[in-house]
Amino acid sequence: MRLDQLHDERRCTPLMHASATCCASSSTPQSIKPALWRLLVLPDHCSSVVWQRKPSVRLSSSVISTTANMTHQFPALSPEQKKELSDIAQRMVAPGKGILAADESTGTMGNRLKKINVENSEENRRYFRDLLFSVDTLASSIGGVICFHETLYQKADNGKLFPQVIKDKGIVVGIKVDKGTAGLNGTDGETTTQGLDGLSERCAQYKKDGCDFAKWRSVLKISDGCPSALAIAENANVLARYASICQQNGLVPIVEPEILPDGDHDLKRCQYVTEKVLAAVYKALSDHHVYLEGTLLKPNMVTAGHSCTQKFTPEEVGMATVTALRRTVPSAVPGVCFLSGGQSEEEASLNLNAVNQVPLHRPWKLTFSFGRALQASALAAWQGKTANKAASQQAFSTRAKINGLAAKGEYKPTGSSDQSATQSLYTASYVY
Amino acid sequence: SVCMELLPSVSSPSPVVMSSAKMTHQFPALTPEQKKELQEIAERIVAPGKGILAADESTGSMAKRFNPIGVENTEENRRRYRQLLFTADERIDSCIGGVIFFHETLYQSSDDGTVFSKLIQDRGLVVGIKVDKGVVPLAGTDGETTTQGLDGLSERCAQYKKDGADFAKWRCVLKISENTPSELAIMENANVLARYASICQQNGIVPIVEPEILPDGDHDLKRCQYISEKVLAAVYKALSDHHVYLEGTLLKPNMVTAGHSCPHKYSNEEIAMATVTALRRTVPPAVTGVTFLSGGQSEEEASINLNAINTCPLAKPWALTFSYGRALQASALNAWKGELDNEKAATEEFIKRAEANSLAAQGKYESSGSGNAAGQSLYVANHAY
Repeated sequence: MRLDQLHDERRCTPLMHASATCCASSSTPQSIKPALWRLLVLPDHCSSVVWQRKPSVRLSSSVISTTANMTHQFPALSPEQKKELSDIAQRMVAPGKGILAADESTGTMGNRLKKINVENSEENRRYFRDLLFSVDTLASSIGGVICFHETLYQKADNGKLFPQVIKDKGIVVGIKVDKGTAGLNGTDGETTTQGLDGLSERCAQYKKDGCDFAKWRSVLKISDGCPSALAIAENANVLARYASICQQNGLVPIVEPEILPDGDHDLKRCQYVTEKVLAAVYKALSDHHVYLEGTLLKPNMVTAGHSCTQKFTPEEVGMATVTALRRTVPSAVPGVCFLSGGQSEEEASLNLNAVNQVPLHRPWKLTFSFGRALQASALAAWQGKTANKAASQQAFSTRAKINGLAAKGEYKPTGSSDQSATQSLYTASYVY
Repeated sequence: SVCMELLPSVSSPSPVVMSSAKMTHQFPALTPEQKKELQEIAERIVAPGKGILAADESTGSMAKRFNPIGVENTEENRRRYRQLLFTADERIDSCIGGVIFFHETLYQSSDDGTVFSKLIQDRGLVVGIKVDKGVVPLAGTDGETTTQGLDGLSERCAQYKKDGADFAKWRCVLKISENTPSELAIMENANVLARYASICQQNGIVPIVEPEILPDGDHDLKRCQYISEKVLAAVYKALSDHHVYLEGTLLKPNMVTAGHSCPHKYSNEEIAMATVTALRRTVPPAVTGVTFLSGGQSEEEASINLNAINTCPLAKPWALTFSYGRALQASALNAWKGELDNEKAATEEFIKRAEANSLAAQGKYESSGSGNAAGQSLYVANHAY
């Protein structure tokens, strides 16, 4: 029996979900219509006690529980809160959909706009986001949009607030909540990420203002001495604190432990580091009592460093990536939305497609959360000129559709060889 | 594909903390060929419809099995008893993927002189060996333990491999009470399991990782689930830290159940949902299979629960099967009572349970008295867990 067949047979029951709106269709005898599910009411069982969290306090070191009673569960979330979070996450990664990362900070937007000689004004930033959000067919490939704070309170040309515009299309609104990186003293230029202060209050406000998910980016790099044990532990911990706070406020946390592609390391090295980092992240999430079914992961794909002399195929990237995830990401996590990092639009789509064709069992959705890889052509087509709006929207729409297909492993770039030719490029997973 | 030989195992008193600047450089623990062998062994053990016969009761444990049926705990009686299990006819070949042996049994023979390990191997089943040396107390805790057996483990594994074993088992024990399991007990047992696993893999042996949480106590289902999740999270972090190749391992956990003295009774579906939810939150998909221990469950209970687990409506990326001792042998022992004339009947009882569990491992077991359709509707939505 082929390895892939063995794994496919294990997928005998589709992922079922309590919500009637998200029931995966299935023809297996074991499929259960939600209507048949009866909630059994039991005395201790479905506790509806909600434990209020105190305002977030920044921890300086990993939390180690020392009380003798630590293994008693003090439920962080009620069943209703869990269901809400889980439903939101499922909607964001519905089949064929991914996330538009439109949360570039003011400074970062400056970098983007400079390349096309456009002034980094508030109006220009508003205009370009409006251009993206007003695409008619947006919802066919986009399940969620990450906004920057400023954008959340800006309006479309038609006067509607952006969150409303996005929600009206059935797309989930998200918000970047971290406040950038800060140096870790005593390391080789490594960082942690700040933004925990008052985060609970901010999350509560964002929820009122239309958001249902958040994003926080931690950064690690690969070099001779990096990432260090401290960098891994500290970033994992701060991600877990952020995630815990978000969930208390009804926001699904996207957990982003980005390992930068800078360097000359090979694919194996990136895979090894990614596995160590993700293992630490999920241990921290467990320690912080985070409800995994109500989270999403936003990792780097496993790739060689930018200056690595050896080039790897999308199939190798796919295999290394899926192998690393299978070894670290529990299947309770509903979806993995890759960042595009420094990849070109086409590279990112080809790699995402390859990831979705890897012949290993993948229990989470594998989709995109792209910024540049969705917007580069759109920016280039726009050039800051109103006359180019339609062309710009077309360029964006094209990338969105392509990535929607790639998220299902159905992207066939014109001129590419057929399935069987690419299959032979898969190296059996035991090599990784 | 550089293969770095591990030094003979040394029991470490505290968990490994990586402190060297170069720690993120990979020093491959296994070659691709070693990985392939380990994964294939694991796959064979948990092939669809197959599980494990845990026949590794130590000499002391066998006394506990023999006493109630009035059989003297002699080496010959132990040999005769294991023989009636191992010589069961071809019906068990599609139900049993592997057999766990105790050291003594590995070198005993059947009446016709065939060494048991060879007997099992020749019929296509994988031979396993219990390698731990029992529990020892953790001073300063409320009666908690760790497990010993790391000394010279590499050499022992190498010898077992030569003698036909392709997998091993090591049992750690945790308990639930007001103060337990403690942080130390979780961390120490996770670490010792990871050291054991690492050493096994170096010797071509698939480690079954068993972090058993005892069912003793009056705690409810939720409590057991919570603790199972914490324990398993620690286990998999330790396995990652020790560079263990997950695809070449199996997990042998407890099912998530309420404590024995819990006044509230839970349905099989609730047990299944709690169990699968706990595993989905902690066991990476790369792990080839989960082979449940039966703990104090009756034969039928263990089969019905395994079946419910396999029909639970959540995606389950690993094989979910059995590694049963008592739940495969209780009726056989009762039928045997040490009598030669009862051997065939005893073997039949064992075959019956093997077939029942084979079906349960595929979600196809219908115990008399339970209707499948009625059972389905009792699954509680998973967000309630």
